[in-house]
Amino acid sequence: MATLSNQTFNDESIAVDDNRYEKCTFVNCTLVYSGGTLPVFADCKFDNSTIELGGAASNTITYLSGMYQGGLLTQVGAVVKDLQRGKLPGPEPAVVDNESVYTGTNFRQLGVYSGILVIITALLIIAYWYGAYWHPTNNILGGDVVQPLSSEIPLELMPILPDDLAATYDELNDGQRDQLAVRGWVDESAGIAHITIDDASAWMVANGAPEFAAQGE
Amino acid sequence: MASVENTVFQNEAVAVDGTQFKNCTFSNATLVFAGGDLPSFVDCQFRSVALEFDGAAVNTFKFLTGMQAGGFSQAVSGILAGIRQR
Repeated sequence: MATLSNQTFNDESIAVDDNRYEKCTFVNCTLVYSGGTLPVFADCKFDNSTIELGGAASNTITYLSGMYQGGLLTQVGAVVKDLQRGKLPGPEPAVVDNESVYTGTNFRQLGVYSGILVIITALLIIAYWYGAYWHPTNNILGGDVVQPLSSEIPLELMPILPDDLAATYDELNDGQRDQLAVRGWVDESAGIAHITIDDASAWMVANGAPEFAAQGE
Repeated sequence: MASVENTVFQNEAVAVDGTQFKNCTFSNATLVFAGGDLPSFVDCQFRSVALEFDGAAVNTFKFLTGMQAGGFSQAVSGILAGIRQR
């Protein structure tokens, strides 16, 4: 590295690669850097001077520009952003996958959402049970609200049915069928008898339907 | 300039200086540029690629950030702004 001390540069284009400048003054100069060994400026003054890139340094900027125009907007943007902030681009800038983003696993969030889903499902089941079984009501649009039978007819007014209702019915039914199958007296003293269904059917076929006297005649 | 054609680069770092890539696919790859001859990409596809820099390219970044801190922020901003001008 060459060292230049106490010099003044006026209106010049200076290649600065691999040089050390001590207490130098640059007036209206262009400092040209080409990507080589970094220059050092110690106690120097700059007056209306600028910088310019050449060689490999210029290639680097051209490369970035080309990749940006080629579609790597995010990647190049990240590099530029780092440089603007005064920091060197990381060794491995974030890889941006435009097709998908890997978010990793978040079991805690999964558990929370699952819990919420279970609670909602349970509430729906309870609501269905309440409406369909515990307190069912049929509401017809514009009609009266129909209450369950137990509330429409008070229990104390409902007819009391025998416990052995089925047996009682069967016995009554059998008795009536037996009566229809045999001839007998209903009231012998009054001369009222009962005949079988078959007898009655045959008589009606032969004689037609009987005429009954009106009540009171 | 070296030429590479019909190649798929997957999960690897690829040095791109001075190379022409034709009909290549870069998938989950890192493109490494060191400030050398500019690469060329013709009919290539890029999927999940990262940019990495080495050699003179890194020196360039160091020079720019150093000069930015040393009072040349306007000049450096102008250079960086030119990168994203399409």
